Amino acid sequence: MQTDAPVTADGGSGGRPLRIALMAVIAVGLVLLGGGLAVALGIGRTDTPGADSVEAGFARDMSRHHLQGVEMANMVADRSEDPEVRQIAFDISATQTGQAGRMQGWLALWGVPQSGGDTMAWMTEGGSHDHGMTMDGGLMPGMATEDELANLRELRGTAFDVEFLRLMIRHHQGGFEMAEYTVEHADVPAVRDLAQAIAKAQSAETRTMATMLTARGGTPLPAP
Amino acid sequence: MAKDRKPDDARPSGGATRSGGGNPNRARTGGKSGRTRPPTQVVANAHKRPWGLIAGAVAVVVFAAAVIGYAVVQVNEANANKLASIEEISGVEAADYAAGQDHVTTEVDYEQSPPVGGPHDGNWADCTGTVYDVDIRHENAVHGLEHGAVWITYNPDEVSDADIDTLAELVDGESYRMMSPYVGLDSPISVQAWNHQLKVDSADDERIEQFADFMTTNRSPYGDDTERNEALAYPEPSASCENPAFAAEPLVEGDASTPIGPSDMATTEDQG
Repeated sequence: MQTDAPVTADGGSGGRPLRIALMAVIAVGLVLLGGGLAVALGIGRTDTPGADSVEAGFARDMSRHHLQGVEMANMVADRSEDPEVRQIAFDISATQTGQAGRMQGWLALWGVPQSGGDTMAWMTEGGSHDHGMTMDGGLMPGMATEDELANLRELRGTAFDVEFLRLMIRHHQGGFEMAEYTVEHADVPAVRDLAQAIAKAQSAETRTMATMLTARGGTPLPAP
Repeated sequence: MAKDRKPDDARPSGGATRSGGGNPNRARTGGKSGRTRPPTQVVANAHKRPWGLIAGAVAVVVFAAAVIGYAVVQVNEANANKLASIEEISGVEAADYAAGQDHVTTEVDYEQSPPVGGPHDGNWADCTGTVYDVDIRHENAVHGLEHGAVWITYNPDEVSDADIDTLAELVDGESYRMMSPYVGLDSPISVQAWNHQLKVDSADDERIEQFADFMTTNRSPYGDDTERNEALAYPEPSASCENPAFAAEPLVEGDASTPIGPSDMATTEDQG
């Protein structure tokens, strides 16, 4: 094609298709560049928390932590005659069941697993206990062991009330650090908000239960 | 640039270059193209070649390729380790028990062993991260699967105590999981969720944990495939796994059905 160039009167005819092609390449290249940048920078991405995020970790671990609280609280109806203990147990069971459901709903919306992962592995910053936390068969702080649960199931009356309060106080204390960490580090407002609510409500409940425990002649377990 | 393109530029300036006043580089590059043309033509082409545009195009293309490559790597990393569907775990067998299975007090002859669905006892086996050391009654275990639990079973004759400890770590303290020995199991280890089963030979097989993590209370085991999710996922979201009475004194396979702890309505719907 370019062999014509010397013959034609205007010498530009040989270069024009090339220039047009180059301009096209640049134009297409810029479009691709823009698209690539948008993807790389996450522009327009509805960024849901990933499986390793603080949000997902909190939702996963706190819902699991809550479910054991519910399990213990649900033992009360068959084992305790004490109206005060029965009332707080009902409150804990109903509240924590609802909160666990809320957190599981988030996990489903974010498309991350409802369970799994090392417990508390998402609490990566500044935790002095991080290394101890995943021990003891994956039990999180404050959670009762299988033996403690088995023992609790066998008790009745005041003996049950005292042991229930001891375990539940420790359970609440154990969840507190997770909640506080999440208040500080989570980006999703709804998650921070629930964590804040849990931290506040559980501190108040812990004080109430500590008073109830003393009134029934019990002594608290060491804090987790 | 614009000046270069002037039509009347081509030939005279070509001559000028030739006579030594121009850019020797251009002339040489033009010559290097190896085309067998009259000298004037080579020179003329060299002058018309829009080097700025060429450089710009190359730069844009290279940069675009780099950015896109980076974006692809980043997206792939974000999606790594993220299962979208149970089908990504090799060896998983699926059944298709519908929701609304009957509650029965009789012994059920299950098609799968261990069972993954079908009629079951009205009382579910406690599945609050419960590690049983007995072969729990299968009809009660199936009810736990219906509530979203993952059930790890092992053949007690084929796994070591260390293996059992390894498996128990996946269960202990994990809501909606349970584990029990299963006498006569046809593989050393089998993991079940409602309608899904994975049989493996070793407690160290990473698929056990993948299956357990992915399937525990997962209503979307097939990702975006809502039709299959509805047909095959466990039927009762948010149903409880608690049965402290069963945990304390589990019914063992071969026992008769005994009312023990809470039960719920069968999820039979009026669908004719």
